[in-house]
Amino acid sequence: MHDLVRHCTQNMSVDALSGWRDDTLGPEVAERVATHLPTCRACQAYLHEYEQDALRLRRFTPPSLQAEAWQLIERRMRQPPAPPPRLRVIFTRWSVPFVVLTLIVLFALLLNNGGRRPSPVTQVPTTTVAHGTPNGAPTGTPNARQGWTDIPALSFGKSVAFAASDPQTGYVCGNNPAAGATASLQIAATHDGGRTWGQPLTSGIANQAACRLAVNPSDPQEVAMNVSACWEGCSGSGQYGPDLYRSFDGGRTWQPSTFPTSGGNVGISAPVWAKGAMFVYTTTTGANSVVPFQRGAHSVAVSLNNGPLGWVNDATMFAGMSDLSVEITNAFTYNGAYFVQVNGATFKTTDYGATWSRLASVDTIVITAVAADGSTLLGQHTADHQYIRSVDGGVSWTPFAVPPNTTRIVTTPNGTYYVWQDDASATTPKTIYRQTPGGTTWTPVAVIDPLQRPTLTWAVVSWDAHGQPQHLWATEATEATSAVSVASSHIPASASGYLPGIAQHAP
Amino acid sequence: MTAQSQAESFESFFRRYQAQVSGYLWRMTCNEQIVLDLCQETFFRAWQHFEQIRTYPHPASWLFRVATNLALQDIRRRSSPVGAATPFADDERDPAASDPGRRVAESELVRQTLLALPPKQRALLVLREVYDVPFEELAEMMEMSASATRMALSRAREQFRQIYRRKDGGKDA
Repeated sequence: MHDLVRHCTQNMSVDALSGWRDDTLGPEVAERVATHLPTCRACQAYLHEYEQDALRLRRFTPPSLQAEAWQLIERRMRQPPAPPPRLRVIFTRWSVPFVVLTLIVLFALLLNNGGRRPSPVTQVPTTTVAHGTPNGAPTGTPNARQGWTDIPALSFGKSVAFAASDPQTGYVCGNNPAAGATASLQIAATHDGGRTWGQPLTSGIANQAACRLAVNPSDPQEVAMNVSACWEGCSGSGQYGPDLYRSFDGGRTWQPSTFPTSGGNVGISAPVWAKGAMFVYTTTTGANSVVPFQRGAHSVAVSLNNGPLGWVNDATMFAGMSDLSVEITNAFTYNGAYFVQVNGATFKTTDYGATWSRLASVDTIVITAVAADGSTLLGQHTADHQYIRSVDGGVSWTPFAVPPNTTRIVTTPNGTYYVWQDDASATTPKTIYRQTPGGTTWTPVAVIDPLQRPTLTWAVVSWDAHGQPQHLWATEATEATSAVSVASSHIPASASGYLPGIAQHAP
Repeated sequence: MTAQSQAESFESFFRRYQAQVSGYLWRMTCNEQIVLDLCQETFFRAWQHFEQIRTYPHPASWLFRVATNLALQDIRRRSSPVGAATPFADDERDPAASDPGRRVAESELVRQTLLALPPKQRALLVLREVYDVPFEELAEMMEMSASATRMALSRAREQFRQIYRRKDGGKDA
């Protein structure tokens, strides 16, 4: 006997809804559920509650045990393995030298590691990477610095990203203009939510002025970094990159990920992950496609099982593509599809890009963000740029009121929305507004005055272990080189394809 | 590979996967000391088979499998849920949305609800909802057929939904 969804007029079973959530239904039942869902509030409510419960489970995080656990394991690793009985005599004879040798090796190892690991540094105010409190910097103030604290140790910072699975871990990349355009990019990491940052590490990646970071939502140690000679507007090809580098050890070492074909690549998005695969979105041809995400031929590359990048589509199919977003039903765990905007149409894939299906209902909508609980999708009409919201996976949409000139929406795991109001003026203060979970009004929480900080741009919001917003982060989005105009140096809005502030909080 | 580089590589492996494994064990046992013990045991076994495990495309699957077995054994051995739930005061049930205590209250509710689920269902729910373990892998890990896994996962979801809401002040379940 199957349990039925209460108040569902068509007696839908909870097993069917559960299977829908897991994408394990046969085609006929899946079709029935797909047809039924948009019309049934009871079933929608059940799915919403399942998502809320998943969110609660993800927020139920343990205290940090890493140091203690490693000590215990290391101690056991040092112990010689228990010998089988017939070898006991031999073992006894060699046990002392073995233990001594092991201790020497481990001691040497510890010394070696100690030299490589960044040590915490404390923050003192000055320039470049700043954070504000998400709950309350005064608005309208002519002093853009009010509510923001500059972090001198990160004066090289161009991009900042936090780990969804461990929101205390975050990374900053960039290069110090004073060190020259050819200097190696630097990386710094925090493991306490940005309170302190380790000494910057040198990446060995030189001749790049711009970088964009993303952290694998399931693995705080895996960081991917897009580097290029400039944020956008680079002309020519070859020397401008972009190149994608990946680190699997928290930014200590970096490996290049080569694109399957090259030539004229001028920009890629920060990577996004789904089902363990990493996707990146790039322009693929040259001369005129100098503005990433806007013109020229575009394509998506995917890396499966940390392997090399491969194209997942024909570049011509995605001409005009304008964004790449994560799936809609379970953003935290990246359980499903990707959406790609192509000439006004939206496609999704659930098989690592092998096949794509067109979503007729959202052809005029650009998917801009996935809400923290994964059940809500935010979009924007391509015609009038009105923001809209869907709570049924993109089937139906309702207007979503935001402040005028909103250019970006980010959500946090506890359901708070933040928007970035930017009218592109060089003089008007740019405001970050907040809407609390379930709310309908927007409260200004921070301002950046371009007259005082012309290139400071809001980057991400970070949160604590309970999903509560903790800090807003802003970076100086300028290249090291002076040849690129400041006006085009803002982080492109399409960088939100990475959606750094969304629902990527998975332990 | 030298012993030194092997140990170095294993430390990196540990740092990469420790949060996932201890997070999973935490949700299975809700007890910090047991998490520490089982996490240690899981990674020690990984160390013993490191040469092989490091070649796997998804070493996390191996770790989850070992951690699952250890957690289920531990729960069976204790024959009662670990981390026994503490009484839940009425005044903690419905804190204001802005109250920081709400998170604490939610955490306690989640703990009680998880411990109320049968251990296998708990494992299925956590592995699927928190760690996105593929459905087929779940079935293999639990040594269950696909249909039994589907059913158990559905029951786990529905039980969690109902129990949590019942504990949360008797809201509609």
